Amino acid sequence: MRKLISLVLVLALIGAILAGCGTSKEPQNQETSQKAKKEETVTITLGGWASSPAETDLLDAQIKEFEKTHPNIKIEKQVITGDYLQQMQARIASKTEPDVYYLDVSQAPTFIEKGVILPLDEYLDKEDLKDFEPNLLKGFQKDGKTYGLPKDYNTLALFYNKDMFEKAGVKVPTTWKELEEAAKALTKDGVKGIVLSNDAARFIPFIYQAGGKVLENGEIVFNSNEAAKGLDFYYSLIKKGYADTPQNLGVGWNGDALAQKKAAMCIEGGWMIPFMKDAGPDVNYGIAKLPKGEKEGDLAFTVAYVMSRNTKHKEAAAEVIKFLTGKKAQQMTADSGLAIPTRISMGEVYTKKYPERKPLVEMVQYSKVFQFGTKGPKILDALNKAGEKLQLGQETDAKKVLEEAANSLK
Amino acid sequence: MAVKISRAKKNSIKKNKIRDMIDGWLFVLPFVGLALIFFVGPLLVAFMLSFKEYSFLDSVTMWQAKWVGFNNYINAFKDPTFKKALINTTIYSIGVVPVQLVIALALAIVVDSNIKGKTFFRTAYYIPTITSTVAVAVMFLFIFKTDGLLNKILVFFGLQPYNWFNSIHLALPSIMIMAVWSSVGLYMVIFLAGLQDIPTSLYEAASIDGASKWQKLIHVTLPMLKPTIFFNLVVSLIGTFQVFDQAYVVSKGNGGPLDSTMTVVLYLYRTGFREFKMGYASAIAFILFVIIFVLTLIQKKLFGEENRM
Repeated sequence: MRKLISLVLVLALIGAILAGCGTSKEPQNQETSQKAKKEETVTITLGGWASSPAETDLLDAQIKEFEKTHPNIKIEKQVITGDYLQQMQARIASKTEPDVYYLDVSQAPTFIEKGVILPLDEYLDKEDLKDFEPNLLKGFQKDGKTYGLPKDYNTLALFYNKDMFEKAGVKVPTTWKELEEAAKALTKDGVKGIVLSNDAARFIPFIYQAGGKVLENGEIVFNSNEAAKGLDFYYSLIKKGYADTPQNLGVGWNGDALAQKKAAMCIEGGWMIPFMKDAGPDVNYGIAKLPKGEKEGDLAFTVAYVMSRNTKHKEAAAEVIKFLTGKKAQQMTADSGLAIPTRISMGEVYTKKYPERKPLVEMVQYSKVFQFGTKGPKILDALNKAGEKLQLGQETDAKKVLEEAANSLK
Repeated sequence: MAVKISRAKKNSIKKNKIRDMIDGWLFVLPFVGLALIFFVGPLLVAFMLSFKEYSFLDSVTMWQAKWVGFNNYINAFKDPTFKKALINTTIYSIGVVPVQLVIALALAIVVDSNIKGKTFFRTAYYIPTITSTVAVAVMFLFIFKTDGLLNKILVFFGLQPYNWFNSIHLALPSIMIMAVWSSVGLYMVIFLAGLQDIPTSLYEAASIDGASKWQKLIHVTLPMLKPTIFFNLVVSLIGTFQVFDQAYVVSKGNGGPLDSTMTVVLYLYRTGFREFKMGYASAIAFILFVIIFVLTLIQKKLFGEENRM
């Protein structure tokens, strides 16, 4: 009898396993029936990271607008949660990545070199491309081919506390010298003139302003005298006591220091605007262009829509990319004020609506995109360490730490 | 039904055994299957990858990826950042393991005795263990920050405040303190289970022989607790060698300042997912595996053969 029960149990288990297989088959059936429908309408999957609810609403509105004008193409939005780059790698390896997805400019060289994304040239109008900020578009081009269209961008600008400036009787700095004087005059009552983080993404503009470069024709050239001058100026402000790092001020990042009135100035991008609304609504702040060194220089951060090499509907995917970076969609971006549109024509719409943010848009012509080739992470790591050595007082010679950084990359 | 039973009776013993075996395998099939797919499979694939040059972005599959022999392993031992990560992880382990086990044992003995509110203390000490390490790290960021709680206490006692997480000497000790605090409860509970397994008759016998409380601890509790200590030591050592979360949160993922919080697993993550070198990352993972394996064998040797886990 007991054996019989065990037999029944085993059969029941096998049944359960088979039932399990059965249910897993069902979606396949659904898929095939969907495929039949797809002959009329094509579904394009669109991948991106989850940003603020307001930005999600903007994208949803843009998608709705697209589907209205393109009845035969449906967009299925897929929000990638967690570490975007890590998730995307797993999905690319398993060939399940979305047809169209966000790509940060810093990753573009690797994605282009590995052939993960397709060139879009055959679908693009050459005249229309001229409307994109050339400095941004360059970030997604290689050997004359365009692999992505930037959707929006940010540059770094000087965010300053207007009340503190007024109290100290200081005018907004436009040169390094004025920046140092302003920082000196504003450093009082436990407030630092400016907050400067140990971050290559913040001090590289100073390297550019001093006439230095990070890369030239793919070779490392940041160990030049000019670059050292830029790095030296950045950290001299900390050494002289007019500036400090966010950690030393007891805050998480530069923006916090301005919001909590621990510093009178900070160097950040347009993401400060929604942040200050939440974290420092009582701070009366202004935005100015970055002060000039030997020349103007800045970094631009941008994200593009790119097309997966595994997409089955190239033309439809290209339509989606073109629409979401097109005038109509960028007009919506400009109106929302959430990000700066990448089209020159729409930049004007944006600055007309938000005149106080004009410096962010003006800086783009002096900007290089935040991109350092396929070895980007290593280069930034080495530069960050160079900065840390100066800040922690392990070394005092900017040229020497940059030489060490360059040698560590050989 | 009756027919079936009579047929079963006719079956030879050998046939029965075979069917028992089939039944047995069918019962464990779901588990064995899952273990093969999700544990043994990835392990073998990672081992293969450690001899290849591969990135998830490559257009070739991992089977077709370029074979580079032992290059990944050789490069790892030439890589200064990997060496630094290995040293940091070793320091972390040497610091954390003994401290957390001694504290856990002390706490276990205390909450095992008949003190008032022992259930409360058992729960209170265990809570950090079930809290997410990221939440713990964020909380410690507040405690250790420049104008944070710890520095306020230091200043109150007339001591010098430090910038804990931004100092190359203090960043690693800070995350060690954090690790001890957050995992001591887990080892306490295991010690507690071990303590309650010790028969009271042994303590009674020791009392009759006139043993003091200290003598009972040294000659009864500790020897009887040896298997539990061994278990905790192994688990704690493996855990500390795999430290990742705390270092990741505190340094925002870059192991800074100046690699002072770079751990082996954090470096592995960075090379694999940030620098797109999966083969190299797999090699680092296997070096770590060998280190942990050897250390566990050494512990087993030291603790003798009598305790079979």
